[in-house]
Amino acid sequence: MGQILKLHNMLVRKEISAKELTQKYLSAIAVENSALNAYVKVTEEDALLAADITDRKLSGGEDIDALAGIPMSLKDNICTKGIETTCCSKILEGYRPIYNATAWNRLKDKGAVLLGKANMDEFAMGCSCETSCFGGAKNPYDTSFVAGGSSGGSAAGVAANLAVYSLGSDTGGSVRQPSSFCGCVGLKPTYGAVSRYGLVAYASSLDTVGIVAGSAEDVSFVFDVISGFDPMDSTSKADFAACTFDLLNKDIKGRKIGVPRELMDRSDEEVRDAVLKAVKSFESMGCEVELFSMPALVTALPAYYVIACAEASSNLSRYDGIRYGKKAEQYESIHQMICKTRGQSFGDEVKKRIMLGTFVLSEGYYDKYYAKAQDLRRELIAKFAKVFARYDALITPTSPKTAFKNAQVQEDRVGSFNADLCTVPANLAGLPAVSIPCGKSNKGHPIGLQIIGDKFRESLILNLARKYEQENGIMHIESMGVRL
Amino acid sequence: MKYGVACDKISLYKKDIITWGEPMITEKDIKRIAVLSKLEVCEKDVPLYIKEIEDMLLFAEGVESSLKESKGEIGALDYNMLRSDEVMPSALSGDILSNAKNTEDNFFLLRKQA
Repeated sequence: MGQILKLHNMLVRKEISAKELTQKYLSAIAVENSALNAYVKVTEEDALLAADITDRKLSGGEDIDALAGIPMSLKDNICTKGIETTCCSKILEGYRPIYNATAWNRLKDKGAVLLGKANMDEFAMGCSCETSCFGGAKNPYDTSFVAGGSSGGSAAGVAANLAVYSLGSDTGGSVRQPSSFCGCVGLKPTYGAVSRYGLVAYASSLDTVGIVAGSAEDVSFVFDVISGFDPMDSTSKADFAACTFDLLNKDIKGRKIGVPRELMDRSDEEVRDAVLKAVKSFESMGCEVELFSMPALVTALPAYYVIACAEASSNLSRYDGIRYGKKAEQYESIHQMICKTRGQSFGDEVKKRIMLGTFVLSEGYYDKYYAKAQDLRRELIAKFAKVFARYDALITPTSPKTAFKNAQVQEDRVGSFNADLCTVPANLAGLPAVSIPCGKSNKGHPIGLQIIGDKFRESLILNLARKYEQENGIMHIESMGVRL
Repeated sequence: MKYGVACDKISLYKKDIITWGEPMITEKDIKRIAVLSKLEVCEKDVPLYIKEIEDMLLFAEGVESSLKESKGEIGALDYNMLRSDEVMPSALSGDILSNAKNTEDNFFLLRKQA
């Protein structure tokens, strides 16, 4: 049983009150967050108020939703009305949104208890959480290693039992890769399944709101609530109603699974071995597994960086210091004020990606980089359509490597792009993908495997993830945070 | 499933593809991109930006592979949802202005320029 259902049953049976549960989490955060840096803001007062609402409902004999009173966190790029939302960037220091993101609103309506805002790479640009202006989140399995990125705080917090689940964002693997590094389950939904309204934009054609939790069951509970049409997001799908929870325990016998050779070949041996062991487990459950070749998966990586940076250069042009956020003090013209504000407040990684994006969109380079990246994206989508005519799902490593050592990424930023090799194809094609733990490295660091499905097939990939968990168990840390 | 058949190498890893030659971009290029990006860049940081953006561009050279013709932009969507053209409640101007450093009446305030 996942944590959500377990805690829900405890609340309903009055074995613990929502306020006591919340206080336990707040106390654990007070003790353990200094070492992990998973939270950049703790919303104690709001959390206790939300818990109180659930307690009053329970004492009044009302039924409560499964998510009511359950403590959780939100990545700091998900807008929370009246609560500072900085994207871990100096340029949004002091910014308090005047509206809630749709995904958060839907959870709030069900009685979710927000413990605080989770650490992340600045504007979600990074793979180690270290570009955060608050410093990076550390890996609960070994704090000399990173939690991954960009949703590093979400994954570190869930892995250390400092939140039951967390919402993150996934533009190129930012939910799945830190989930893999921290031994969590991380879902990147189909593009259009969850509203992006209130998610601060990085690369709009790739951004998705994702979920980090301790099990496929917990992810399923949350996904079924936050997904569905939202008129405030023109890319949200009108006729999509998720019911993944009802299908979690469906028999997977006879499911056809493809394993792309290119991603296995480019992964470290211990990662590959763990994934192959997991593949055997799926075979033992009656799945038909086949190794196949799909070179387009590898060429997706540079295309992703070109498209993501191009979109970022446009999206981040809104930060000018006039309407919100930080503003330069000394200037002689409005143009200079904007340049100074942006130059002084954006971090180096963000500035580099904005400049690269501007460059690939500029005259003389548009065709060489941007237009060709779009063509590669088109090719990739066409290849996926053929692959999903043959297979129900694909299994790959989530990341070719386990967690990096702290500060290792700064030594080779471009080399670190390869960490996204296995995750970016799903973003470019808008497909759902889930990362689940499938073993540990020699150093004891978690290894993740990724299950990719066809569009809007979240129920199938979570079904496969759940069956794997039932067969192989759930990875968790007993010694940290709150484990009831 | 049997594993062990090596696939054809697709050269995209930095160690596989990069031939370090003459710099692709210059100090002048960086300054031009910075102006277009509305970013103030310190003189001392320019060499670092040259190196790192050049690295990123070399990495992006991978997009050159296997492309015959360009067909324009594409996204992950094969549908388009448009809202009906109805007036909806909008935010209050006081709320909208609440995050600005300088405001006056119902406006964002900027210092007057000569």
